[in-house]
Amino acid sequence: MSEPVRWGLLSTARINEAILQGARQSESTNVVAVASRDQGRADGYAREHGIDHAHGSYEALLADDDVEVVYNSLPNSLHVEWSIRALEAGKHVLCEKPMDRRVEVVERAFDTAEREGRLLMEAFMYRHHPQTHRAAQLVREGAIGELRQLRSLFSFTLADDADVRMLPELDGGALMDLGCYCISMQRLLAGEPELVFGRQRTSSTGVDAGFVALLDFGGGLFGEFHCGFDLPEGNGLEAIGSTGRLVVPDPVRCRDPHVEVDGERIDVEDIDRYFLQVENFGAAVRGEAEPLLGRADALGQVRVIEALYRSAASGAAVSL
Amino acid sequence: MGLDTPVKWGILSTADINRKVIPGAHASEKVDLVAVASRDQRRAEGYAREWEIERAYGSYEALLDDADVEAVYISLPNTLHCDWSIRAVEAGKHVLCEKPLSRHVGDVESAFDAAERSGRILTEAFMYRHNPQTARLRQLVDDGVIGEVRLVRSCFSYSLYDAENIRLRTDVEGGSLMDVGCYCVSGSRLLAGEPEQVHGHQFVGPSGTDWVFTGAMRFPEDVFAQFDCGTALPERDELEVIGSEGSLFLDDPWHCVVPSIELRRDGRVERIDLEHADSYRLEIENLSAAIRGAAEPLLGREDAVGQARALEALFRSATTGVAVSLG
Repeated sequence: MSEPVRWGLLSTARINEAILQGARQSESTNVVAVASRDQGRADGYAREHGIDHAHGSYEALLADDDVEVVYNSLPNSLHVEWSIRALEAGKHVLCEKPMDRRVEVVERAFDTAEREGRLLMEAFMYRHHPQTHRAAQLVREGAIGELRQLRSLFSFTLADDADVRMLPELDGGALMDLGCYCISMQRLLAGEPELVFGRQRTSSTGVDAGFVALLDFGGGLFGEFHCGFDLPEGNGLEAIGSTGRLVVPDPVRCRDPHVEVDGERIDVEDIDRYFLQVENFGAAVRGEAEPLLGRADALGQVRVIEALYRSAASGAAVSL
Repeated sequence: MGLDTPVKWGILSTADINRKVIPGAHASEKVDLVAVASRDQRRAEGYAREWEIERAYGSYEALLDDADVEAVYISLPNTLHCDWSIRAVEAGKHVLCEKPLSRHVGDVESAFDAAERSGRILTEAFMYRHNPQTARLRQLVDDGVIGEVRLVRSCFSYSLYDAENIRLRTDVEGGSLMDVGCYCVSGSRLLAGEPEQVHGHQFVGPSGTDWVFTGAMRFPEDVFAQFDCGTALPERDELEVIGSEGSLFLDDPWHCVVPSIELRRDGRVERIDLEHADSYRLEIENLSAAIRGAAEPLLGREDAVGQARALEALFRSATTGVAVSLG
């Protein structure tokens, strides 16, 4: 077996806990460094989590030769900027979703990755879970006949106007934070949409607090989803085919993982999706596996996000 | 261009704080608010319509490219303050940047270096400093109504528990000292000068930021200041300056919504009520006048660097557990 991959955490964001939890279970993952904008905070965080190197700036972590992979969990508007800096410093990058809302910006990030000969992956952790693989496999194998209709939702209540997800300066919004999952899973099952239409409810802070979308994948296959910070908690994915119906009750968080086909429960292994994500990316860095998600998927994502925002702004459907 | 020609302003971002600044800007004859920028063209347009601003830009860069805009108000998240202040002064704009400019002295120095190189004004937006209540407080102290200043005591706190709130995120430099404690530091410095030594203690909450911060500062001539601030405390805002013969107490030192000063002396309390004034309007008018050469900017490099020095030292002290001396 090859040597464990040495990871560095850019920032001390809360989502790191999930990645650290996954990394602890993985023999091929070694989190060796953390950066914060403050040396004292980095030191404390490193001590608390048993991380060797603590850096008082993001630049210092990127200059750490010991680090091979950077995990970027900064706010949305800083994703690409710091991914590019990391790639140019010779690091592979696992970047939190959504990478950006602008196609051109995501293209620039992958152009940099290719130029530098480094890997860049968008951190859709649910895509690594067996529940997701199983649902896709069932649809592909015709368990519900010919796929016609996709429905999904993702919502919870966020009452705080200064939450980073509610701030336009940091590219917040429900479509960015939640809808991107609905888009990702519909694209997984149906491919790339030909036409999209979206409407949004705008918060007093100026972001989309709620978003509803219609996707036309061509060949009579349609998708619809809604997401929101102004709704009760809601999760779910439903795929309806010519002969049956498949339901994934908790598609993103994958709690009590199972898939239902026409009411019949199919259990899948309960396994930490963050663990699977760091394992996959680590193996890809060592050349032992393909990264599950690459340029094509990230660009497909951002094309739909950009088009949906354009549609919501103009009031017209947008062809892709 | 005459002294009375209104200064053309642009706003970088559509942050919530803007709603306090825009009405005063629109009402002022010295200010012509002409442009707003957002990361999204459509959002900028909606915002411009709502607030009756003529031009909407879909990127911050585009606003800085507008040659008509003479000054910009920057209300971006803390970590972007210095970067965009530098870009703005290099694009030839004068800058009013939200507080705190930064907790890193080096970044604040770089921003003012850029401003000086570009021959532009940069000022930190401590709006309470422009309120007549603050000037009156300073005047009373200077007039000796409380004798010699010995102590300054202040607080600023509120309660917030969403770890994703921008004020509780480490990566955008939230935290109570940055968000509200900086007022206590500023108020103490206004009354006592620059601290020689500081000592800070912090409770770091689960979000990684300081949820409660308490600081003690020693100033020249044995004047002391103590303050506390928090994002996990009840709503409090007070300032008291205590002299050898009495004290002056402000119940609303920072927002200045109901400006009033209590003079506590000889066992009696005398209340000095003041007219309400829009601090935000006075602030933007001061910088507009400074741009036309008709006034000095109230807050410049010296004050901003003093702020950052104190903040940096307080954080260092709270981290290391020892007092930090400032040369």
